[in-house]
Amino acid sequence: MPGALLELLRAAPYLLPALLIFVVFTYYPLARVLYLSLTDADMLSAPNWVGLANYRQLLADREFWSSLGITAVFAVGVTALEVGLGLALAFLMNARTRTQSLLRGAVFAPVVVSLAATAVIWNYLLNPNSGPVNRLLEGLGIAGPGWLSDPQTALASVILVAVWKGVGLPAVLFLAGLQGLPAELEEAAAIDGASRATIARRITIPLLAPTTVVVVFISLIGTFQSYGLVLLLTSGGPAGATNLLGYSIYQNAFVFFQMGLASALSVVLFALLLTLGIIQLKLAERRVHYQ
Amino acid sequence: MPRLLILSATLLTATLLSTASAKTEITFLYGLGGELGKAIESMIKDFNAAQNDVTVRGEFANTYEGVVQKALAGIAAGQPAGDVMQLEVAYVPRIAASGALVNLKALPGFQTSFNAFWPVFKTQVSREDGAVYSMPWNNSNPVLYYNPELLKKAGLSAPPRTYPELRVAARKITAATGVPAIALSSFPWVLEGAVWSNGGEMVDNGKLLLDQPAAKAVITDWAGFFRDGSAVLQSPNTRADFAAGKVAMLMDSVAGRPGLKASVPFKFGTAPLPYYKKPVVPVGGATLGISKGSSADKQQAAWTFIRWLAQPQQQFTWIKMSNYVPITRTTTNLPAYKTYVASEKGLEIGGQQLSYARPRPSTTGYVQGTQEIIKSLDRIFLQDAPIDATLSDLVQRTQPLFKDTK
Repeated sequence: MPGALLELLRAAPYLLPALLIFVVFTYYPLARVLYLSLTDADMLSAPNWVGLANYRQLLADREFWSSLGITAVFAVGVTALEVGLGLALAFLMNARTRTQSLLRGAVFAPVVVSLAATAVIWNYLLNPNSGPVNRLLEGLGIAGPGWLSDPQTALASVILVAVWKGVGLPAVLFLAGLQGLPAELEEAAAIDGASRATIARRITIPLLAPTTVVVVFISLIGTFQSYGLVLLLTSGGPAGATNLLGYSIYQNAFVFFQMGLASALSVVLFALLLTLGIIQLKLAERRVHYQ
Repeated sequence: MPRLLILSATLLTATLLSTASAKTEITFLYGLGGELGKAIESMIKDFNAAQNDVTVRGEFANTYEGVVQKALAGIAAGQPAGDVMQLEVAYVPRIAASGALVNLKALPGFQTSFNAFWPVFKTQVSREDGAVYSMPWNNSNPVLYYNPELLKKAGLSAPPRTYPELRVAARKITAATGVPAIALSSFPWVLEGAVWSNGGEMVDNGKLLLDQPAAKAVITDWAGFFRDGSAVLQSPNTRADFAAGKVAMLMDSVAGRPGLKASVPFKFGTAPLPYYKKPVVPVGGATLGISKGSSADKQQAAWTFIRWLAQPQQQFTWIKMSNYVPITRTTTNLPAYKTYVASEKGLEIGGQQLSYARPRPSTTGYVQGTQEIIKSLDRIFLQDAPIDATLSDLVQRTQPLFKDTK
């Protein structure tokens, strides 16, 4: 028996439990969704094979394209803000100050707040008539917008809430990355007369590239799949302004009973994320400097 | 041998007796939480204490959608999620069409129970083929809630009765108080009543009719409220705004009274829903269906529970806790009910409106069509989208959803 096969046979009993979990809870549902996307499944009757009809319907539906555009804006907006703010907060949390522990706790706290509580808090804060945010603006002589009820501002408001809720995780990841950097490089640059901004721009941030790739990847996947916040804050409205793909999948599956169409949407989302993931990995291979 | 016979007979008798006295346990899957959820659990407790044959176990599914999601999962798994299910009226036709619900007409005592309902509820649950897959339970209709102080500031001593009166009043209120006079909703419940009261229909002959003159006139009128600044779009914040005096009127379910009473710091007024040419109100809410996948004894037990809930005394208990409208005439005529509504000013309006109420459209496509209606109305009300073009587009886009409507 060849050595590799023998090794595989030895490893099999150890791998089997994990493999079984993956097959049952990941690969089978994935294959099932792919199959359902080619049917008219509605969970109420036996699915009939419809071929690519669901995909054709999606491609011809302007709401799908609008939802795709909204999702892209949401994903890019949240990711950009989470990376930028997360990095800035990581620098602040890394600095030895008296408030270091407090700051670290405050930044990470929203991550552990439940989505429902987040929605309640922000619905109250952003209430256009009696919410504290608009009251504050009113005090400054500015008429506050209808944050979540105005189609012009709803998506931006949901992005801000998502960033508030999620920025703690990238910040902590960046902090871990910062603390893992070799101090001698920064010290050498400082001795050579580089300013703190130059050190950050030329040394620290490039060295954080592996962490940045992970953060961008996690954030993009999370935001493309996001639907809970929209469900609780705006229900996809007003005027469809926050109709993310994830919410659209939920609505088609569990409100409209169109499981086939919802599965097709899920497959499109999966393909999109797979493509993004591959692009990101290729870019990372070329541009990231691993230590 | 005789000993063996005696022993066998004793065991057989004991088994039969224990079977006969065993309670049938059923699950009631419901979707109302908060105070209403507590009220449902209280009704379940009362039922369990009132008889010895059936034990009901309540299972909260979070929302009406949650009930449907669990029901669907149960159907897919071949194991009913609940023996009795609280189904929002619009979901019933689709689930019934799949064969997952019992046709209640075949159950004992159906006709007696059915005859007791107000006509609007009989229409609500009757399908075109005559089958009845669910029984009315928690139903309500919308009323007009108003802030008397804000109306007074605008020189109004009484709430408006019709939409033309509302339009005039709204302008006066906004001018006098600086706050939006009314919150109007894109969710088409109140709109259905307005369109019907203007002589129109929402959906007919497999088509949404919002581009027809009667409906278009209503939407144009409503858009006018937004364009002159006297209306805001109803949102989850509207009740808080009403309580804070930031909006003078809203049209909402009569079952919303307990919540308003708990949060509004002033004595608010309740008035009948405004109308155009003739008063018409839509009724909405949920009905109770029995899973076909449940065993025969569980179906029978579920039916016993549903009939018990519809009895006037239980109805009255439920109304006191929930402020839903009475579903049977007998409940409306109960002296205790009359005394109660006399002490709860405004509550009687929900019951009075039943004589000119209509059930909400419940065709299969209307659930999805509703989401498209909301988007289109949002665009008209909030983004000044052109009314004619938006409504034509809405009707065209939703056409495939109504293809099964006869």
